[in-house]
Amino acid sequence: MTDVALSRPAASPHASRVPIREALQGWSLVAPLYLFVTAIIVIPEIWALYLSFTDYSVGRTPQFVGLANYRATLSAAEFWMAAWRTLQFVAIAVSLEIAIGLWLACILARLRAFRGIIIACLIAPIAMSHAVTATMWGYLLDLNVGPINFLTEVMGFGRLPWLSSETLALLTVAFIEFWAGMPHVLIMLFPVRAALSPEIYEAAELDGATARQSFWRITLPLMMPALLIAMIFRIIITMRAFGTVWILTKGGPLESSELLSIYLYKTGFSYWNFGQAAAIAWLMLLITAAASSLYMLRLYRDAAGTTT
Amino acid sequence: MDSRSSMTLLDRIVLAVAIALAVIPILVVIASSFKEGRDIFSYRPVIFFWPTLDNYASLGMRWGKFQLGLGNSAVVTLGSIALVLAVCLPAAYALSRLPRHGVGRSSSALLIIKMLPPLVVTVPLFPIFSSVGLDNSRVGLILVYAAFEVSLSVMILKTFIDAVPLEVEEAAFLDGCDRLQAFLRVIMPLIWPGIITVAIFVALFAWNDYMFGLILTTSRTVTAPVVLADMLSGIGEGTATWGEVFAAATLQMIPVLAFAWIVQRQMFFGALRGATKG
Repeated sequence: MTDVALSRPAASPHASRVPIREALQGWSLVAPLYLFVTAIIVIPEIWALYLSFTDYSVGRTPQFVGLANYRATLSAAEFWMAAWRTLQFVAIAVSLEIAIGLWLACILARLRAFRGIIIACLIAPIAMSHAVTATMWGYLLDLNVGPINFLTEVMGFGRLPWLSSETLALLTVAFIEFWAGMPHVLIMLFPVRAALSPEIYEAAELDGATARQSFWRITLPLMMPALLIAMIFRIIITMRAFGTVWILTKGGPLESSELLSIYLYKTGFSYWNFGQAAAIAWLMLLITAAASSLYMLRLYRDAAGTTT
Repeated sequence: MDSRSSMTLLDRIVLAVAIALAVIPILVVIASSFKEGRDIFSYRPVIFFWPTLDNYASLGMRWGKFQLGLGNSAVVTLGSIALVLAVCLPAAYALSRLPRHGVGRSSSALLIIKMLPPLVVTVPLFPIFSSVGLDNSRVGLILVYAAFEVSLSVMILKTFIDAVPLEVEEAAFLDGCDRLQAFLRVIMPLIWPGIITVAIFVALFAWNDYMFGLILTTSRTVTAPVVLADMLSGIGEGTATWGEVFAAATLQMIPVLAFAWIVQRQMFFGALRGATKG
């Protein structure tokens, strides 16, 4: 609708008697943005693709080696182990984020008193950097001085090596990722839940529906599109998780919390094997692209749905 | 009907636990930064204590590197905000007001940028940056942070400019303003909430980022989160104490926490607008 008004040449005395001039003006205003992004992101990304076919390392001239890096990566057990750990990490963190985020969104939508301050408290973890999150949980879960181990000892479970045991480390960092990521889900879901009209629920109640039935028959179906978007978005973001896990465990103990991103970082910046790292990077990019295309498809369908 | 009556006991418990889980870890870090060493290490967690600034004094004396990091972080954050706005304001204006000839459609390509994992870019950027010396300059980080934030920022700004009625601008044209003057005098004052929203998102990313700071800086351009992480791993080696680490963590989190809380309504509704527009 605005497009029609905007494209009316008389709207601006300067710009647009000649369409070419308007096109030039428009493109010259957006051009810096595209040039900038191309220089800093697109060209390096493509250069990484080239590097992935070479044996490049810092200070060496890249030699073309064909698909050797991809073959080496895909036949390395470490890669598949890292991929499997990433899958578990993402599954645990994102399903908790979505379940608790949805629950809290429903609770908050029915709450009237103190809603602003409660939301502010719940989303506070968003402001924490990976370094602060790692400091916080590194201390809370510390084997010797951590308050959480004090509690578990008082309750009779003894002190647990949350971050330094092979069985617990991945679960623990997945929980920390949930802690840091849940507020993002809440921000996406709460406005959607709050926008559902109370009349539907009142009508359902008059018809004798229980709270549980209202949730499964009304809330969930109506929120499904938003839930899907939030879920795919969080999967994409969580797949690239790096900072907090790297600071807390460096992928250890014994690679038990080595995610794909950490495997990539080690290959590139600990072993200086840039060709191989670039191959892993592009494999990660392809996995992300697969997940993103679901996201884009969903957005595209929504957009098509609202315009028709 | 009292809306609170519809909350079950389980709902109340979940809400209470969620609030405690979100807030207590943050408060523990801030409170512990004012504790003496023996209160931090006591077997029983100490809740009431006499506050002291010892940890901050010791941080200042022994970790000059952290102050350097805070300064670098501040410069890099402000630089990123400025660069994002410089690039995105004209682009958002064009996307909103001059969308013909393919300009409007071109922005969908930016969504793809948001999907690229940042770690992937570091592999080729690291050799480029170190050969040109950008890792030894704060400009390098500013370029990277801004590049990863422009896609969301331009969408947020565009929705805010869209919301300014065309008539307002046309009135300015009739008064003899050209496009630039109309933008500066009429549109800019009306889209301040959008500009602040963008500034918050960029600041959150640039001030808090760890990964790019780890890879693309030298000891001269290192940022606060990277020094904090170094300090944390220094505890085991005895080069840092928990007290100093808590003081550093508090200083690193407070600016962004305060900023976000002051303008949280902005952030909330800005995120909403950005999200609905992709």
